[in-house]
Amino acid sequence: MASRGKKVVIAMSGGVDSSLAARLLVDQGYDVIGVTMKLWGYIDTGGRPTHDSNCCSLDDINNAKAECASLGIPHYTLDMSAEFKEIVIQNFVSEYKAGRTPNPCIICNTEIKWHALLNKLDDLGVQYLATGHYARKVKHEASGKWVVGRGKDQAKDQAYVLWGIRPEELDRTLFPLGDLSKQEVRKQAAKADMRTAETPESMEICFVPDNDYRRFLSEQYPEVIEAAPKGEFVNSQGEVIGEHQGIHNYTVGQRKGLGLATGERIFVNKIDVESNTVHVGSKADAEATNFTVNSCNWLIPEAFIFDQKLDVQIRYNHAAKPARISRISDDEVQVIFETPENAITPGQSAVFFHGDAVVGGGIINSV
Amino acid sequence: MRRSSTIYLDHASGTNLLPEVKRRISEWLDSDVANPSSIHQEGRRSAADLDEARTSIAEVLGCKPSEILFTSGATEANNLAIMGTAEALRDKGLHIITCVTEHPSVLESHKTLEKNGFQVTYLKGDKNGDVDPEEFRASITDDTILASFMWVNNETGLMHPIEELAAIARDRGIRFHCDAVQAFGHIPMQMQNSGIDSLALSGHKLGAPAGIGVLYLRKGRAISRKSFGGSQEQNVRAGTQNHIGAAALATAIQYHTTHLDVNTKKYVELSDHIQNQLKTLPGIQINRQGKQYTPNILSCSFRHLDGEALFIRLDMQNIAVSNGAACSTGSQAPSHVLTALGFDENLAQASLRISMGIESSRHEIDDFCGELKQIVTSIYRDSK
Repeated sequence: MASRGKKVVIAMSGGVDSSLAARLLVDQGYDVIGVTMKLWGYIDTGGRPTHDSNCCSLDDINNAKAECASLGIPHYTLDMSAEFKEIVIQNFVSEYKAGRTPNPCIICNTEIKWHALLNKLDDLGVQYLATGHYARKVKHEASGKWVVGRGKDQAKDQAYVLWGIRPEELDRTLFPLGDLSKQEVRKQAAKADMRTAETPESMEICFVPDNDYRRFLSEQYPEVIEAAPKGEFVNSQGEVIGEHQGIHNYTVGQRKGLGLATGERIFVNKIDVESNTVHVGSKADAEATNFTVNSCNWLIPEAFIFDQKLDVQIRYNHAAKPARISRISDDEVQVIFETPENAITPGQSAVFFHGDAVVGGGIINSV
Repeated sequence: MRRSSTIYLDHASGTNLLPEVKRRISEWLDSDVANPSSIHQEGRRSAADLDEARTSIAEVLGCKPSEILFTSGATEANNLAIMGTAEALRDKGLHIITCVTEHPSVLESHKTLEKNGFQVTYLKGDKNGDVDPEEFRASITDDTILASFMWVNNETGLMHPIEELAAIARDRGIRFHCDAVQAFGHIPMQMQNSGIDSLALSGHKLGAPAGIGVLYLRKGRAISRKSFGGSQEQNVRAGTQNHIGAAALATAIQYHTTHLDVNTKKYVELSDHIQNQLKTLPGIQINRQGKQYTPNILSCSFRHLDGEALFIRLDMQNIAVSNGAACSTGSQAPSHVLTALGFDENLAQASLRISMGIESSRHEIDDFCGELKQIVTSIYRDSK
C-alpha cells in the first residue's frame, strides 16, 4: 500500500468526522498521530463553560484522546490559542468594526489549521496533514494542479471554507471523508463502536458557542463597542428613517433586529463605515452583479482563471453562479455575475469553482 | 519492568513499584480484609499492620509513631499542614511565608489562605531559586505564624538549606512546614532535633503506589482538621485508613533508608555521565549552577527551539521525560518554576526535567542522549 508507514497528523476536534477520519487512515496503513488544537478558552471568550460547544472543551479533547487510545495511536494537544487570538479573533473583531461580516472559520482553516499547523508538522518531521472535512483533493486536469473538490455529500460539502489553503500546503493534505456521506460516516462510526458516533453537529462559531456574536464583542472587546457610535438608517431615497446602534450590529441582507417600522419588509443592503450609515431597502435594492475581491489565493495558474467562465459562491449556503473574473490590481480582482445576486456581503468569502472544484478564492471587498 | 523500547527518565513523576513493595502487596491480596478501626480480631490485625507501618516510618524519621499521619498523598499532606496550621493559629497572626518555586499543592494552599484574609510573602530566592536564610529572616514579622519551604525542588533538583531555615523559624517561634517529596531517599532526615514542625512525603515517588502519603506533625502542634468524620489519625484526618498503602509506603521508606548511600553513589555517577554528554548538544543550557542539587534530577533547556515539538518527538520515540506542569487538556503550560527563575516562556517550554530512578542505567542514559541529539538537531534543521 502506498500509504504504508507514511506519517500523517489528523487534526481532531473530538467529533465523529475527524475521529472516523483517523480510523480510516489507520486502516489505510498510515502512521497516524492525532492532534487536537486548543484554540481558545472561556477565559478569552466569555460565555458559559457548561454550554455545549463542539470544540476545545475538555470533553472534546478527552473524546479525541480516547478515540486515539482505542486506535492505538498517540494523541497530542497543541496549544495554538496565542495564534488563534492574534489572527482569527483579531480579524473577527476588526472586520465587524469596519462594518463587514467575517467568516472566522475560513481564516482559521487558512492560517491556523493549515498554515500554523503545517509549520508545527515541519518541526515534528511529519509530511502529511489530514482533516475530517467533507471535501476531496482532486487533480485539475488542464493545469495538473491539486484543487479542492466538493465532498460527495452535497448537504455537508465544505469545499467553500477551504479556498485559502496554499497550493504547497494542499500538496501535503489528505481528506479521508471526501467520498463519504455524513450518514455513512455515522454508520461506520457506530459499527466500530466509536464513542463519538453520536456527537452533535457543530453549527456555530466555535469561540461564540452561544451564537451571540454581539454579546462576545461587547463582553470581550468593550473598547471596540464603546467606540462604535450610533448612526443613521438611510433608505433608498436617501431619507433618514431611524437610528442604528453601531455598525457592528448589522450585516448585509439582515432583516430582523433593525427596529424599523416601515410597514414593508426591509433589509440592510449596504454599510458605510466612513459616514457611519446603514443603508436599508427592499430585497431588490440589495441585488448586485459586480463586486471586488482581495486577499486572493489561487490553486491553479491565472491563465485558467481570468476572463474564463467560472462559478462563484459568495457565502456558505449559496449555490455557485456563473461569473467572470478580471484583475484590477496585484491585490484585487473584479467579479461580474451573469445575473444579479442578493446580499453580496463584504467580509464574506467569494470562492471560484471550475465545475465542482475550488480553484481559488478571496474576501469580498466592495460591492 | 517497562517495555524494553521505552526510555523512562521521569521517575520524579512516578516510578515502578519496588520488588519489596510488590511482595508486601501480594501478601495482602491473599489475606482477609477488614477495617483497622473495627473491634474484632480481623480489624485488629489490620490495625496492627497500620501500627507497624507507622512505627517503622517514625523510626526512620526520628520521631514518635503518633507524629506520623497517613494521608492520600503529599498534596493532601501539604494542604492540611499549611491550611490547617494557619487556621489553627489565626488568632496569633495572619502572615505566612513561602517561596515562588514551591509545588502547586503548596502555592494553591497559600492562594486559598490569601482569599481567607491571610497575607503571604512569596520569597523569590536568587537566580537559581535558592532561598537565602537572611532574606527569610528579614521577611519574618511579629505577625508571622508559618513558613513553608520544599526540601528539593521537583523541577530543578535544587536543595534548599532546610535545616538552617527551620532553625531560624524555631528561633523566631514560627511554625515550619516542609514538602520533602523529592528529598526523601536522597537526604537523611531526622525530625527530633530539627526545627521542622511538619513534613510531607508521597508514596508513588518512592516505589509505593499512588494514593498514600505521610504528614509528619510534631506533637503538640495545633492544627485545624480539613476532613470530618471519624477520629482516625490523631483526630486530624478522618476516613478509613489505607492500611495496605501505609504498609507499602513503610516498606519503600525502609528500602530507601538502607540504600541511601549506594543509590546516591549511583545517581552521582549517572548525573556526571549524562551532563558530560548533554553538554555537547546544540543550543543546550544545563540549569544547574554551583549550588547543591540532588543527583537524580537534572533540568536542561534548548534555546530557540519549539518545546511542544520537542516533547512530541521524544514521545514518538518512546522517551518519557517531563516538562513543567501538564495542564488539564494535556497541552503544555510553561513551568512556573522556570518562569519564576526568569526564563522566557519559549525557553521554559523547551525545557526537560530528566529524573532517574533505581532502574536507570548508563546504557539507558546513552540511548537517551543519542536520541535527544538526533531529535534536537533535526528540529533545528527543519524549522529553518
